[in-house]
Amino acid sequence: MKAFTVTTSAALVLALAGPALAQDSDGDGAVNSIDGFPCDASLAGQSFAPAQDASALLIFEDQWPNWGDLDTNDVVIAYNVVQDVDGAGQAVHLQMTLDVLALGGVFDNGLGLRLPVLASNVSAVTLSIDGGTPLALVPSATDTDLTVVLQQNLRALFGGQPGQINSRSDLAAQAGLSMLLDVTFATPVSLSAALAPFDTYIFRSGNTSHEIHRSMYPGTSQMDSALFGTLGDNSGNGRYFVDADGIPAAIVLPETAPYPKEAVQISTLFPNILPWAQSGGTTNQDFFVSNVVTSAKYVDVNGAGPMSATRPTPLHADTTCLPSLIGHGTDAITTGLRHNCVLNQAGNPICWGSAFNGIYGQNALPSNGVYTKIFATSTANCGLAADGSITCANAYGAGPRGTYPGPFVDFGGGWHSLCGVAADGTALCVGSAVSGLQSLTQVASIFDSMTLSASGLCGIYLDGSTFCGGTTAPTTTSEPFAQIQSNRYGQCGLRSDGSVTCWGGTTYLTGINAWLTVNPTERFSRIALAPNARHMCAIRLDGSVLCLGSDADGVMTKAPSGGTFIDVVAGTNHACAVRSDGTVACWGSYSESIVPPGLSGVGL
Amino acid sequence: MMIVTNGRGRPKRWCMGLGLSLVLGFGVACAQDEGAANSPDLRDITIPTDFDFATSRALSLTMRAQLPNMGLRIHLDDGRVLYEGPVPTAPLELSVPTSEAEVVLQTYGAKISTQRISLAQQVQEVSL
Repeated sequence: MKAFTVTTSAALVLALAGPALAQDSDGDGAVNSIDGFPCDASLAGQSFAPAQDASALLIFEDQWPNWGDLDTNDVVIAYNVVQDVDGAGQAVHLQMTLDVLALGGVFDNGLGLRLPVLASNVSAVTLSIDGGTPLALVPSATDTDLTVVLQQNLRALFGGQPGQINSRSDLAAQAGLSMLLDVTFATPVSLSAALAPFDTYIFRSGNTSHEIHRSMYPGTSQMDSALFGTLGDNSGNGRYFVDADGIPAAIVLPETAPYPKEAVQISTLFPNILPWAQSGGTTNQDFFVSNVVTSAKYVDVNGAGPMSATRPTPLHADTTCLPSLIGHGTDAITTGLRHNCVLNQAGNPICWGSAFNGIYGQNALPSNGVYTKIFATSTANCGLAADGSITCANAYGAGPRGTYPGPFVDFGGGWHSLCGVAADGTALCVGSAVSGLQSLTQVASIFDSMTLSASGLCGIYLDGSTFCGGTTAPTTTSEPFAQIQSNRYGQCGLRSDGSVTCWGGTTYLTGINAWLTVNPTERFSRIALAPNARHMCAIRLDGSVLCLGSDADGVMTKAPSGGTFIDVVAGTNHACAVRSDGTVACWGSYSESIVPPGLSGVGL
Repeated sequence: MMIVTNGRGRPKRWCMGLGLSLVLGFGVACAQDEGAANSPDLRDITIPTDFDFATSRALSLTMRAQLPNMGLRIHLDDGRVLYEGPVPTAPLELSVPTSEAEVVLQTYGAKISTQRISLAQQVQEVSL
């Protein structure tokens, strides 16, 4: 009996996995369903430090071996490291994004990096500034490990500006240029992400042998070792660049934490650093996020916080070996938590973004499936077929899954929910937060609404009035909107005259209107409210895109400035829009923004 | 960056008080350092001599996959991804902020599973 159960389970796994599991387009041993680079035999996955789409801070006191003032803002660098790894998990390629957020010292400092990899095993090392042409770096000939100078003087990233930059609250913040280091290894290497940012160090621009490293590193071959033991330095016993109190000249904060404003000690900003340091790190291990004294952090003269770190530019996952991406469809674009899907001309789904959510494997609709509309919940994908059935691929969380025969004429849904609408106006609602919608009738359509709120599923009745409901029974909205979008903060409605109003949202904010002010004279054809963030994107009547509210990962500032668009969707950290020529633009965070090459014909 | 020091570059806690008793100009100079003068100081505490000020833990995971063709996604509790790809055959070494108590391992592909890994041990073997 036991053997029978095992056999049945194995068969079930294979059945669920479907054809995608059998495909290994690049022949690297990692089938497409789990291969982050399905068309590149040398790559299969990625590791991140501190995490995908996140930055950590490396902060320096640059007066060493003199005692520093402990405001730790002499050099503040945000970094993110991405390793592209093979099937064994070994690094083939490394990308390191470095943004200098502050130069609060008076010295001119350069920036260098030593990687714990033999220089002889590096086939290429380049640096690009602010997305410019990558330039080859020349490794140090006197260091065995790869050692390169990234900048001779970090002020060059700020146009050569002297003095303190982004540390004084009486001055306006300055945006610096971003650095992207790219290293390709001749043979894959085991490179622990735990070592990031590796040996990133500063040196005096006018005296390159005056280096300052983190305390576990003694310096490069260029280091003037005679500096150890002078003035306030107390290096010894395997620790370097520390003072007599044991305080290092360089510290990593593993998150995008604030840093102190000028002449304010780090312990004023992070009071819990004191018990943390006194305990040898055994208590208050979250000192950099807990009990932070915001009045001590750096803000500029306008009250704006530190400059944002640049999101890393990922190595583009080549998908050209996969089936054609050119398509055409209606209701043809949707976004989930961290992925997007469109329908091609044949009605087949094409998805991109996080591989975990609906691109491959058991969260993906069959690539040869034919649908007239597609909708993604946070992690699942659902399609409406020509026979009126709705099929949802959902291997992970709560929400709709499997096939609902219907027949339905429309469907929409939310975070983990779905409502299908039959021709007679009855609705079938499944998933979470739909308990109040079990007797819905007279429904014409359900708006796509990535809501996280209990009353966020909205739709339109056959008589043209609109409603919202969820765990509560549907209530008619104040106006008969042409479109309603909902998120955890409230709802926004698009009136038939193209104006937009927003309401609700008292749980997290004092009211969404207090934050999201839509110009009452603006007119739109389409709106999209992010599910879990405070922004909205919309299409103006002239076809241009406008994003309002929070600028998570550049959703607002990176929105296309030109072009004519017909549809838009918004994710938590990204947005996508369909141009009138059927091509797609995505912007914001990382992988969700990388539109597959050749994608066109969408929504025509 | 006007800092009044005690000779080791250390901002003096008594700076403000002295400033009040001296000329106004000196008081102005001290005012630039008011945050430091009124705040606790790392140099006022005793720090263990071997403390390295590390704010992240190194986590080394050796994965044992029960099935071939399994994908693995490792993320923090708030969803920030540390690794995504095939189950690696070599130990996977990750950096985890000390503010985190555990990481989440999710498999996909041939097997769907979720498990949470405590960071109590730096080196762990995980059966997926």
